[in-house]
Amino acid sequence: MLIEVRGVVKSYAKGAETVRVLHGIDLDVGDAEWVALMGPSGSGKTTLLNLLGGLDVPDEGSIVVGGEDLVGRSPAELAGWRSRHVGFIFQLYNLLAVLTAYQNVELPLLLTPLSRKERREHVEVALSTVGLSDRMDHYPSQLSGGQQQRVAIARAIVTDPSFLLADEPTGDLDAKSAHEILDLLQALHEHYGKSIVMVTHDPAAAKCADRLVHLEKGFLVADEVRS
Amino acid sequence: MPWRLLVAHLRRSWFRTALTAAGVALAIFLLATLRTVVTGLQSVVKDSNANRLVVTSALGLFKNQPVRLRHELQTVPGVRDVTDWTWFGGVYIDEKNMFSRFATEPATLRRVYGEGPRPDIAMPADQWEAFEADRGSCIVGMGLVREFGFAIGDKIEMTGNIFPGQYTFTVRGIYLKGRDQIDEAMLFFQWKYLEQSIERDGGTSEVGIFVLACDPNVETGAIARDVDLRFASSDHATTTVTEAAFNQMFVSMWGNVPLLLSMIGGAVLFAAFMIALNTMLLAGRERRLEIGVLKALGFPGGVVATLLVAESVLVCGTGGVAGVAAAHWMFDIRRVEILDRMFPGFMILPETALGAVAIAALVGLVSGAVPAIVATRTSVVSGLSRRG
Amino acid sequence: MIFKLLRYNLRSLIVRRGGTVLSVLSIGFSVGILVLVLALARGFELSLTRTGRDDNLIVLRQGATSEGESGISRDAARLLRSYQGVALGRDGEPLAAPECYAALNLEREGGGTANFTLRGVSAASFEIRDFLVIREGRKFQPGTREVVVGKSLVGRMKGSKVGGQLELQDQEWPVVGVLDSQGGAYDSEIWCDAEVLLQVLNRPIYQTCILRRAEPAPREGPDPLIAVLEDDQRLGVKVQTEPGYFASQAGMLGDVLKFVGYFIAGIMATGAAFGTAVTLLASLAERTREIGTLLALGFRPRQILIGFLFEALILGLLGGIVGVLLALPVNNVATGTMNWKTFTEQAFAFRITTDVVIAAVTFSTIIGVVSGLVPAWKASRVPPSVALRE
Repeated sequence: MLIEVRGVVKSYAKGAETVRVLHGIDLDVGDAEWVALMGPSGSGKTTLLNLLGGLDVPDEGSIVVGGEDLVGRSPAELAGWRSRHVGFIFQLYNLLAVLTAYQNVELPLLLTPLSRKERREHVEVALSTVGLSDRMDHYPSQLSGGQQQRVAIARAIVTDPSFLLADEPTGDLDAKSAHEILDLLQALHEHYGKSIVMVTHDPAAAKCADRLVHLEKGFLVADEVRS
Repeated sequence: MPWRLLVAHLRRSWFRTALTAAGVALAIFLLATLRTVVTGLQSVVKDSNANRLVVTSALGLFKNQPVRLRHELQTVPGVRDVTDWTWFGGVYIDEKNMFSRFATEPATLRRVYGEGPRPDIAMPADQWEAFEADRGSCIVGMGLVREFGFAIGDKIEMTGNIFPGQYTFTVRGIYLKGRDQIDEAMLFFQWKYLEQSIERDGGTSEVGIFVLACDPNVETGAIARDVDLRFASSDHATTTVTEAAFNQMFVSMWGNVPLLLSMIGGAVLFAAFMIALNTMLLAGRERRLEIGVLKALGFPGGVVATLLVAESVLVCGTGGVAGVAAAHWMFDIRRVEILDRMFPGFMILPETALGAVAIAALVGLVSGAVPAIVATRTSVVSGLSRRG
Repeated sequence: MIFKLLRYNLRSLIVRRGGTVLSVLSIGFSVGILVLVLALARGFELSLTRTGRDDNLIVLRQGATSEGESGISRDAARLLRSYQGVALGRDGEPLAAPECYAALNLEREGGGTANFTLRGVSAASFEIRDFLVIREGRKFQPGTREVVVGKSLVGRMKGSKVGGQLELQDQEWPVVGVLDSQGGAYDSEIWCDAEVLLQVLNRPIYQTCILRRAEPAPREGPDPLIAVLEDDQRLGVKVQTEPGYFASQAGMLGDVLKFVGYFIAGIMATGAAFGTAVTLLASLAERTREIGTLLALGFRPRQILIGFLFEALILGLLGGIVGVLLALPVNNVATGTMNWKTFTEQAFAFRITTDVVIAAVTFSTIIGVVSGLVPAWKASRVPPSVALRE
């Protein structure tokens, strides 16, 4: 089992009150499994995603990834762990506007001991995988939404992470671009065996996943394997 | 370390960077200038001639002394030469044309100030002789030549006030200063010329101050005490001090200039800090999302902090260098005539320049540290979430 | 419609209060410097120009620009006393007082020396200058070496208090009183008996003569009394009113101080203007969508421009007020400097007067507006379509 989540509880302070967002979640994600997290807004799916990625720490419970428990780690340790194991794909792409596509994809590699030549090889492979080799010197403002998301995906895979976390990857795209992105994710999932945990509202995206997990008001209410 | 991010940011917002650097540059320019005024005043004292003594009346600078003291002072052991300066005052065309005018004894002036490898008042020998020979002659400094265009042979007319009457001097020599601290815009004429009009008005033959050139092997303090003791009980008691102490008196008469300049300097520094901090806090706010992404990707908080601080130090440091360069150009290269006269020796010292740049870098350090600390403290999640 | 817009601009400043505060502070410190130096110049000027009565005349030798350069012989003094047009005192004697002026090097409180003004006066001097009071102690005894000191000297010159001593030429001169000339130049002087001083200095002549005129000067046209005095060949003098003379002594120092003040503050304020421009430009960048919306609603680009200039003006205005408040603590703080004309110590106080405040606030408002020129121009160029994009 790649990811094991046991009894995770998470609350947030909202003004003077504390709101409990996750009420004891148990979840398993296997190697090369594509899980879609679904549910109405406020159900806690984005929070769960953040916890899986080590961006935040649960109040109770454990999150074990590849045998290592994330709970109890310091922010610095989590940062290092993230850089090695997780690839993030955000709804609004979150590319750095001041860097070119090439430089954006190269960014995570700067945390590794690779030489400039080695980094170049990895970046070129990642960009060709997403089909954007000819635009590597463009700035994000010069790319369409779909192209930006593809650059973001290239960035997410360039370090060869253990799994990908995607937060509404098609949420900001038109139907055609969304389709392209889902095809790409599918290719990554099938040909490269990447595990993907994806938060989505998009039924087309949900159709690509192996498993649909439903959250409602911080509880896991359904877990169905798609046929 | 993603330094390219630093470069990319600076290029992106080059106008804002330029404005910030310019603001810091202006502040540092002022700081360097203010500091130089202080060091300039100090140098006037520090670089005085160690073997000269100045003899004034014990009552103060404005009481003149009997001319016969020339001979009496010559007999004091340790005194090699005696010359005297008498402030003339007077008006040259207009009250606005202010420069120092002194009546003196040409031969003794030459012996005390005009001899040696680097004399304080440097003039060719034939001009000294012409000055000594012609009772109605005068010598002027190069600074006056630059300002008024005087040349050898010109006649300068002046209206006296302390010594009333019309005076005409013929320029017989032009001197250059041997040290930065010497005023190169003075006019000297023969005291004998003055004596004529003093006698005509029925006054007593008096001169202003005496300057003694002393034997370097004799302690000047002892000579000074000797002189004052000799005249203590007469009706022209003297106060004898070293040239350094005499200059110090002039400096200290300015009052609490160092304090005023420090207050101004403090305000300037604070304003510069506000300017740099403003820009960096702005940058920090605008880059919240970007900082969140970097952290999500796994960059440690220290990297983000270092980038912000480095950017700030670079911008402010550049401004600091520019400010010092501007001050150097204005004061060391262009040389403002009026400043030269009031503050001879007014130049940017290396330690002033280095100190100013260091201060600029420090301002950069602190104003970059504030957003850097905020960035390291902010959680990744709040950086990423659009809703804040 | 324009006022609603200005309210939006004000709100914008309040919402982005970090940038607002820093801009206001950086302008404020620059203005504070200006106020400081202008107050110094004003205080210096006031200490001189408020000296004396308009119907007192100071007589100097022709060609002298200050008392120190002047000389009045005993014969001339006698002549002046008997002149028609000179008022008579309480005792029936003419109000004409010859005086001796000297600058003497004395020790300052706290180290160092300075040239202090010593004025040898006659009995009539006090009556002629009737605005003068003896604050503490009493007048000096004529014929003795007793002195009175001006109130500004107390605490600045060593020994200047009732019961203290001054050392002149190896002799002790006891201080018996403190005089108060209501903020005039005499507050920085030491007064003693003229005859005693002449003797000590070995001088045969006085320096000046002060006299009170019997009839006031005509409102317009030339002054007959001054003309007659100056034309008199036996005297060879030049005459000024008492306030007029001291105003002329202010000379260059006041102007130089003001120049220096504007120079320093101007440079600093330019830097502050740059910083403020950065704030406004960044604010603009964040608000492009808002501006596009305003344009879509029907506001015109010119109004957007005015709004931004208004923001800049407010920043400048606030900066000016902050600057004045920052400098306020120095108001009435005593200080002193050397008067370049007379080479003597002039004690005075920082004076933040109304015109100083007005000058400073005007200056800072201009700085604010200048800093807003580029941002305002850029704001007016935002196309309405940005409201819909992204």
